[in-house]
Amino acid sequence: MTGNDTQAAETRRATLVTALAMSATGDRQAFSRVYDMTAAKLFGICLRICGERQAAEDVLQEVYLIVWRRAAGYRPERSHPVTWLATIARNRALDWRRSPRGRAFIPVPAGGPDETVDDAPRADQALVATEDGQRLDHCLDELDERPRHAIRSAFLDGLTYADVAGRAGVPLPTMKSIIRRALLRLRECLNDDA
Amino acid sequence: MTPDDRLLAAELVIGLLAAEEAAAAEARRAQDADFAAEVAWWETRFAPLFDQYREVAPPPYLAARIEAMLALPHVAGRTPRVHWRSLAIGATGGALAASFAAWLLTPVVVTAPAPPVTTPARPAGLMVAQLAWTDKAKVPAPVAIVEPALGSVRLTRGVDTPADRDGQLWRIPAGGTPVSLGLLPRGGAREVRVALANLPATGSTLAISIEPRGGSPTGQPTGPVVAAGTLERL
Repeated sequence: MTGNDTQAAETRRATLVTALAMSATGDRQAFSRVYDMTAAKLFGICLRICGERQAAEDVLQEVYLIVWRRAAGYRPERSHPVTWLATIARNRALDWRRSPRGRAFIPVPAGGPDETVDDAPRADQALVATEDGQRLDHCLDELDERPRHAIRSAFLDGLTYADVAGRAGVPLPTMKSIIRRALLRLRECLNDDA
Repeated sequence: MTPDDRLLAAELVIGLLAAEEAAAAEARRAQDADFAAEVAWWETRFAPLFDQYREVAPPPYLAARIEAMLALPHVAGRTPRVHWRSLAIGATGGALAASFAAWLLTPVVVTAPAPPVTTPARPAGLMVAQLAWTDKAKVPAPVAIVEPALGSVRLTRGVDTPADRDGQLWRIPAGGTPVSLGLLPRGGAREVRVALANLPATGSTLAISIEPRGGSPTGQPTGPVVAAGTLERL
């Protein structure tokens, strides 16, 4: 990131933190600023995980009601506001995917190994500190291709063990042990670099 | 923290667990501070992946829908979080506000012209719904009386409406989306005439929302719901 980008990102962060704090006091205008600044990001998350527009809209709606109620619980010193919001959105979307309705819905057609991977983010959309991102990239790169891909797509597409095993055409227990081994390595690597 | 605990935290964060396993891990997170810290650790490490999600603008009406819901005291208040899926089931009796949250959070086709769905067993006898205010109010809430033979829904008392707004009456079939029954008359009258095909059935919910003059522009409630109740056979 250039200096300007960094500064713009910090301004954005500070604006969001303030708007969230004001939302916590019941300020609806501030809340609508939070929505305007983040809805596209959160909708992108809901849409990708739900795989269906109607469901993604419902989940997004639920997400912002949760945000409205929980705004007072946000701690700026612990996480970036976008991370906090995105985590709520992703968790709600995962809930939907694991509900009977969500399970009945067959998402994203199974395809080649790379179909779910990486829409490269634009620099100005990189919301979360890039240093952490480089560390994660580095540690994921240390893993074998199969678990690396499985872990990424599990996170990004909201896939369970059963889903990733099914997509890869690997028995569930095999997939579980491949991923678990990789996670132990990943933890070690992420920890070492800290 | 055993290595298995650490794995479980990672699996929870990444989303690898099936519903029941995830619920169990969430419960543990709520009780076990060490485990919660491990979950937080993984959340922080994986946060950079959020950058991979592409931004997609949500449809413009969503903002209005959310805004409208903030006005609902029971939905918007600082109450403990309840999940709408669990609410969708226990929507009777005291769980009124909850059933509203459920309804408001279920899919709503904004452009729906309120079709008179395939008429379920046409109601013959009188039906009543004791409405409850969604907000604390001093006066008792009205009772709605449905007389199918007359195609009429009457309220035992009126609903205060700001001068530039209309009260709108809705029926919400169990598990369905709201269908307008019409506007509450301004002034003294408290009766809404309803076409036979549009009559609410027993077990459905009646609700009153405050809408712009002339009624909701979208065909779905857009303003705060002020009163609601379940319809029962008399």
